Amino acid sequence: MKFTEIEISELLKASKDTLYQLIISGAFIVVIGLILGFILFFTEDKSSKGIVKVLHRIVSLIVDIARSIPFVILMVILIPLTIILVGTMLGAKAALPALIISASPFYARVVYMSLRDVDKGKIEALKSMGASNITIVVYLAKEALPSLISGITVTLVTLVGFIASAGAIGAGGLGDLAVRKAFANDYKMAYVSVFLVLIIVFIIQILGDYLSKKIDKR
Amino acid sequence: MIVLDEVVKEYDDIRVINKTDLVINDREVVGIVGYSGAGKSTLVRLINGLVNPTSGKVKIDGIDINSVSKKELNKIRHEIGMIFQNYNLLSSLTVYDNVKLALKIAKKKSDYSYIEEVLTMVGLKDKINEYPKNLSGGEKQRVAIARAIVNNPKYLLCDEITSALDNKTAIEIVELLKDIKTKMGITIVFISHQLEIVRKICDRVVVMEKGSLVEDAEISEFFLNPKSIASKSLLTGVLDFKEEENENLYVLKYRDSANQEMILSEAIKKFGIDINLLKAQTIDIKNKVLGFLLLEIFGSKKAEAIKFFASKGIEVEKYEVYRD
Repeated sequence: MKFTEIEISELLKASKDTLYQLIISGAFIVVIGLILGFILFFTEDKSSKGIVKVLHRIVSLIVDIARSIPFVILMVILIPLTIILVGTMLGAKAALPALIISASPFYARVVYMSLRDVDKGKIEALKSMGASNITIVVYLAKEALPSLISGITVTLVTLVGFIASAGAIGAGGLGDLAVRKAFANDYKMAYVSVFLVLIIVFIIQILGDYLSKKIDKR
Repeated sequence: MIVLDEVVKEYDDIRVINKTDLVINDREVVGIVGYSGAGKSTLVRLINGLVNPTSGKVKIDGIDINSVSKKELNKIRHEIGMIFQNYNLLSSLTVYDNVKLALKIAKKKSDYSYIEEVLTMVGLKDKINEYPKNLSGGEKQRVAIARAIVNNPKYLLCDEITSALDNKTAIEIVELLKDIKTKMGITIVFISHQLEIVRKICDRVVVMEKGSLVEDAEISEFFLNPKSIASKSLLTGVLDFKEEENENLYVLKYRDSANQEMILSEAIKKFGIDINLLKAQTIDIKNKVLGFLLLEIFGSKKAEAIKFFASKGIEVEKYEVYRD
């Protein structure tokens, strides 16, 4: 299989766009997801009242709503916000708000579930030692780290799918290239684009599994 | 000194601890026993503030722990070690780091040789760099003990710490605790439903039932003279007497099983009674051995004979079966 120079530069540009979206939105998603996930977990206590309970309800609601809206629809309804934030509704950058808003709640739920899986007795043990709340959060995160990392893997793989769909509605990248080439009957380029998406997914999966396994002492 | 002063605990209007007064003196080893759901775990968590009372006060060395700031409470907690049924070690840390964590939280200096010394004391020197998942249940509990005592606390709370272990390991763990108690002069609150474990370590037994303290006795008195139905029922599990009740059946309880006097044969001669020995059992308690005889006593002077036994310091009780 031979590629013309134009084809190669098209593939490179598309890959660069996809990776750019993946890295930037991925970073935001992990940070926002962690924050929301920890809030969900620590405000959950049945005996909590007042502001803590309200905070839990609000965060929970936001997370569930954002998770329920299909990505493509979310992207479209976010166009006005995107124009305010990024200044344009086209191109690699323009997909970022929708990607972040869509995938952060997903990761937040994963974080929440990972924390919930840590034996409550460990929190009790830390409390009984006289640990401050910050210390408890730190060691709880440490206990949950393997599943927090597996969660990042799952989220990023889903995110690659989102990025590909974003491409179909004007965000560029490998998804966009595959769709355009397929419609133009250039199946060679379409398949190569899809193949590159798969490579990205495999790399994420293998790296995530390796890391998670390496630090898992449970 | 640990003082519970009219403590009540309710969860969603359900009372789990009824108005309770309890004083635990320094260097005492107190067993809190009772069936599951009696409120033992809640009671022990009131002592270090993991559970807050709905009303009443919990005082540690005179300080009401629920009236002080979170920071102060955490300081008090450094003086109260706690060990759990499920060990609750951090799986992401090695044995060494698990123990070190307690020092770190208490903001105390941690040097390797000190932690090594504590781990040697619990018999785990060679596992110092292992992760908890590579340890047996007994070993995990030893790490938990090391973690609980590394701060040199004044009090040690043990919540069903032998329940997840086999009998042999359970006894080893209790022996270790006894050892620590001797070396460190620590006050121990020992929650358990296993009387055969409690009797090896405790000076005093407190029995809980449905959220109330129903009995509070010195350990051998508890075994010889249980007052509450709950205690008698618990003791049925320790004494291996499975006979059906009848009016001639009695249990004789010896405070010291190595009794030199020939009391039984003396009674037979003196009162012309007949005795049928059905079962005998000894129970070792801390540093004493108690003897229990299950007898059928016949004869017209049965009542006098029983009085005679009592005058010789033997507790006599009609045999009754207590079922849960």
